[in-house]
Amino acid sequence: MSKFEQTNQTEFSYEEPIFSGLNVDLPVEPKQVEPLTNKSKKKKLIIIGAVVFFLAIILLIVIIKSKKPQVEIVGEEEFEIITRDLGPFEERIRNARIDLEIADPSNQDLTFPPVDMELRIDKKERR
Amino acid sequence: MNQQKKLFSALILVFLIGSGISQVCAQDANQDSDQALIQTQEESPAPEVVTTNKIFNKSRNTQKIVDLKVLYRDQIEAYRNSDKEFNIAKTHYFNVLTLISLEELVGTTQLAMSDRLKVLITYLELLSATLEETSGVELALKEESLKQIRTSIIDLKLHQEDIVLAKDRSAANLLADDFELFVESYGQVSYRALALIRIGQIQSVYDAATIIDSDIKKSKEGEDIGAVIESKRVRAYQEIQRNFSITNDGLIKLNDKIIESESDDFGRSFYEKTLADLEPIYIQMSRSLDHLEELLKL
Repeated sequence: MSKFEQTNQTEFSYEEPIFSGLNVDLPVEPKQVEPLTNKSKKKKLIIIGAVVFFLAIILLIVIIKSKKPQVEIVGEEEFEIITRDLGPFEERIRNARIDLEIADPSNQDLTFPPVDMELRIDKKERR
Repeated sequence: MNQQKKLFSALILVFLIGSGISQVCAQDANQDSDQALIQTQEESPAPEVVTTNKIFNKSRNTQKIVDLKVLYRDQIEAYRNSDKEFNIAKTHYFNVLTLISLEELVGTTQLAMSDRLKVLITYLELLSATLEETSGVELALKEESLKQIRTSIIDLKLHQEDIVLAKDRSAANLLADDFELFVESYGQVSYRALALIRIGQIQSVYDAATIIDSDIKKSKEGEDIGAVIESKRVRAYQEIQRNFSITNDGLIKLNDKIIESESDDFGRSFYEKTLADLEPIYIQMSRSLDHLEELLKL
């Protein structure tokens, strides 16, 4: 069919295959994209796996460390109480100190009741 | 898709393993701490620990005082609520001036007055119990103050009976007039007792400190020490004695002030002045205890 006989008007002349008559095989593009994506996915997997692993380890360390000091503190406190063997005079002075703390003039214990002493319905009549 | 599945399953696996290990470790740590606690408890000589602990955590309040404090706190809370209701009812009545709102106002007034009296009575009971427990108060002054408190409580209880009977506006106003008569004497009785308690508390520490001082001196007598330490001890004894005499003078002056004062003199200002006078005595007393501790090391 000559190009003047074509009825398809949506096709331009420059779209016509130039070497159509030559029957030359066009070179096939090598499919290199796929192996590349596989590699990058593997890399991603390794990175994410490593990050998660490290996070898990950090989590473990944090948990263990947060628990360990408690053990130490409990032990220390108990130890302190057990070993604080005061002599009779030190005990008596310490007792006096506790009493003195109670006697602190700035102590707000036993403050006067915060009540309204002038509670009434009508104002007092002046006589 | 297959890779994503693998990634997802790997993530879940890591988290599961991580959480499992952390739980095990946490349990171990808890067990360790429990075991350590049990071990220390088992190893410790029980009676001694209890005694020492009691000394440090000893509360000077008797059960009666503790109970009264709890009751007082609850009553204050109840009073605050009823006082709030009274003020709302009062505002509402003077806005609308209806008979219903007046009824409501009389009711809330009665309740607020009753709750206020409960607070005031419990406070006096609390003061009485504390004063009784305070060992450093001169006996005659203590007895006099306790008697005043008892009389005030009786007066307030009689007034409480009148509150129950007050059912209208004029009766509520009369109650308010009657209550005014108690206000001044209530303050005087309370502040006098408070002043005695404050002075007595420091006096008892002073008494204990002087006994400790003389006991330490006795315990150190006859010790084979050098001249340097001997002179240090002598200086310490003198300094402690000087501090004691300053403290004692201050306490005697405050006691004299209470004895010499008329019953009308005890008000808020008197109490505040007493607290201000007690401040340097308190500091002096604290210093004396420091010196006693130092003396023990010499």
